[in-house]
Amino acid sequence: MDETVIRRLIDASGCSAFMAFGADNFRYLTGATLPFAENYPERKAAAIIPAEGDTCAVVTPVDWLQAVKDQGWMEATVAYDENEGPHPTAFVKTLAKTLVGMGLDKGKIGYDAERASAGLVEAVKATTKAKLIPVDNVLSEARSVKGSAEVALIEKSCEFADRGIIHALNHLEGTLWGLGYTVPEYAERIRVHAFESGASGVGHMAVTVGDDTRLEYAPHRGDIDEGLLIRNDITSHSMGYWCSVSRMAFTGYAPPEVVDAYDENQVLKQVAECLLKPGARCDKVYVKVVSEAEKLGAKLHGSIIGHGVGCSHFEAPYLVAGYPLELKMGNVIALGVATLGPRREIIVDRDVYEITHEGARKLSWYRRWDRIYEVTGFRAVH
Amino acid sequence: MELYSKIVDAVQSSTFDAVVVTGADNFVYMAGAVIPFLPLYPDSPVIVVWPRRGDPTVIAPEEWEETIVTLSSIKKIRTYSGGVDAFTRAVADVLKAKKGARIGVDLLRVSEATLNKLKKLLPEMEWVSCDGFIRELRAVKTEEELGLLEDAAYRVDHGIFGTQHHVLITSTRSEMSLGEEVRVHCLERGLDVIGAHSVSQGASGTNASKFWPRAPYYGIGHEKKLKEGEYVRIEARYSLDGYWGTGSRLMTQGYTSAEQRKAYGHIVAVREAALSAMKPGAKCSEVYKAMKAAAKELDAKLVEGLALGHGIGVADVEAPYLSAKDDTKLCPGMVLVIRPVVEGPKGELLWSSDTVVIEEDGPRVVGWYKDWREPYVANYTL
Repeated sequence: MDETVIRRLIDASGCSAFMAFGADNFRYLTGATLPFAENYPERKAAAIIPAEGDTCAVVTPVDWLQAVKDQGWMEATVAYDENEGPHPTAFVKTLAKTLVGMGLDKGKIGYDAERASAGLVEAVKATTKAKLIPVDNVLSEARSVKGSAEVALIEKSCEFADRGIIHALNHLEGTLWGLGYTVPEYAERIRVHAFESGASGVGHMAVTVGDDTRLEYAPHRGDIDEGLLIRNDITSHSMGYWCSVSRMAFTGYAPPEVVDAYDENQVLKQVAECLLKPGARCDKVYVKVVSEAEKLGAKLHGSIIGHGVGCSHFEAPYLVAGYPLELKMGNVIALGVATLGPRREIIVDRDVYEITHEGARKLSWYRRWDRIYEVTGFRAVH
Repeated sequence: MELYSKIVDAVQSSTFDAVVVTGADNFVYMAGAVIPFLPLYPDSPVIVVWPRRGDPTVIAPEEWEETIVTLSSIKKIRTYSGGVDAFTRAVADVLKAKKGARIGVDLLRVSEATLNKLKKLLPEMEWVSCDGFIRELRAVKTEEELGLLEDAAYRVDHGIFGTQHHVLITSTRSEMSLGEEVRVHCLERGLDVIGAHSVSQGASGTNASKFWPRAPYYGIGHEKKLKEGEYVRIEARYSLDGYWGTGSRLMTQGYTSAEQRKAYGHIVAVREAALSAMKPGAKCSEVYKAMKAAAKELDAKLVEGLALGHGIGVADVEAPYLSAKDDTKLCPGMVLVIRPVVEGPKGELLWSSDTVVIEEDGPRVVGWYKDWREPYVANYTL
């Protein structure tokens, strides 16, 4: 993210600095992706960006610091000593010292209250005279409008994710009648191929097969046999910019009722896709899809059909009832209308689009998925 | 059901009228639902409301209902559509009958913004921290949990060893393929490769001087090939039915040099010091001091700023911590990972993690597939 834009945001918020605790906001403000920070709630990092002056700073555990520097962070880096107290004391002590050193021990500091735990904020407040102001909306709004470099990274991440899925599906060809793939092995092939294609990380990955496609996630167990529906959900990133794609496949020729269900899903997705334009209200896009689903007699699963992607794989804006914001140029939306198949299977074909002045530009273009992928190939041994 | 009964008893004998947990790790523990993607969806919160009397309730996004009900030991679920506002309204609705109640909440997990919304909706409630309560509950494992953790530790060690067995000096491989082979070997041993942070990594030579070489490609690895004479650090973290195994083992590319042996000896000595100190009743901080003293006596270059070990369970890093200020008393049923990091002869960061179960008569190292008083020495040829 452009530092001058961030500083303008800070200034406009009337704050002397922004302090981000969430891994996604940290990425947005610093350009550095932390090593799985979301999974380590008792290990903390903060990015501190003042409205003016030369010095920004990050505070992290000892073993994350180098990773931040290696991603191009040229400003101050401070590691906290985990032995200075239990969580969050050790982190907060160092953070407080850093704020004082930056001259930020008074005035107003904007922070991400939706990412910082209540206990952490309480501890920070006890150590500083600065007034902490939640600025989640400012950060969320800024993050939701992407620059061209950000869009380019998301576009790459879409390609990597789609390659991961299609290459894994290609591996399935000719394996259904003998010693084939297990579900965990197949899922692993997706991840490996995404990495081999260039992805810098995989977040949520769920491969559901057969009856398990009724669920959003099921433990990866069992074999992939003939005659089964497969849903491949993957979120992955390219240098910290995320995509979210889902693809459907069938082992063998899909029966007519599955093909029909998939076609129905595609119709609803196209309805939504046509509405993705600057000025379209997010809730109205959702309502339109609901009404078209009723007309078709299709059953929707869940209550959200799309969301933003960027420094997180799930962020604003949201295509959901009760979310009245209008789409803007530069929004990037993962659109996936989830419908129920003949046996209540969750069917989703999730693509990613950039909102441009002309409408929705598909970023996940690597392959067309307008027909369900059928694993019907054979294996030549020679 | 052993864990479920334990939680029922603990909540009933607590000072809370209800315990509510929102952290992904606490949720997985209380709900008994292994759902690896929760940490990555902070804007789609989930919660367990566990009253002192009556059945617990899960509150989750509508689209996750069937998944959570299927995977959880809690069968009562309330869903919401939309973001955090809808979530807090659903929570308030479940709790509203408990006017004036004392609600224990995981303050070190719940976002400040969410808690503030809950306080506004339920002004008569007394919101107090239950972090200590959950921490203690999680720290002492049931027999079933102990079985899973021991099994996971063994399988991870076996997975790493299986990979090392393939490494030859004369026909070497890259760090990337090493990491991938660890993952495949762990998969083959039945471990779950789920969760964004469920990764393996191989780091050799100068790359081993960083905790995370090639950021942000965490756990993907470099193209760098292993060279004769190098120290190679191999790490893996995978789970088994939601319980984690984390391992790191060292290998020398060819016969271990005197300098390499000396550094490894430091790791062994610090481990031995930990094991001597890890008696039931000993404080974690005392174990830490014993480990530091052993390192000092040998003039070992212990990396400063990190805890020297941690608990493991539904998270791969959790309380208690072998750190200077953690005064948790060890007791039977706790499972910890000893993880001192020492600098090697060429600045490599070396560690060899060991999982330890605290029993009545002292600590028991679990999971060793090989005697790790020596590093693995890669073979020259087949």
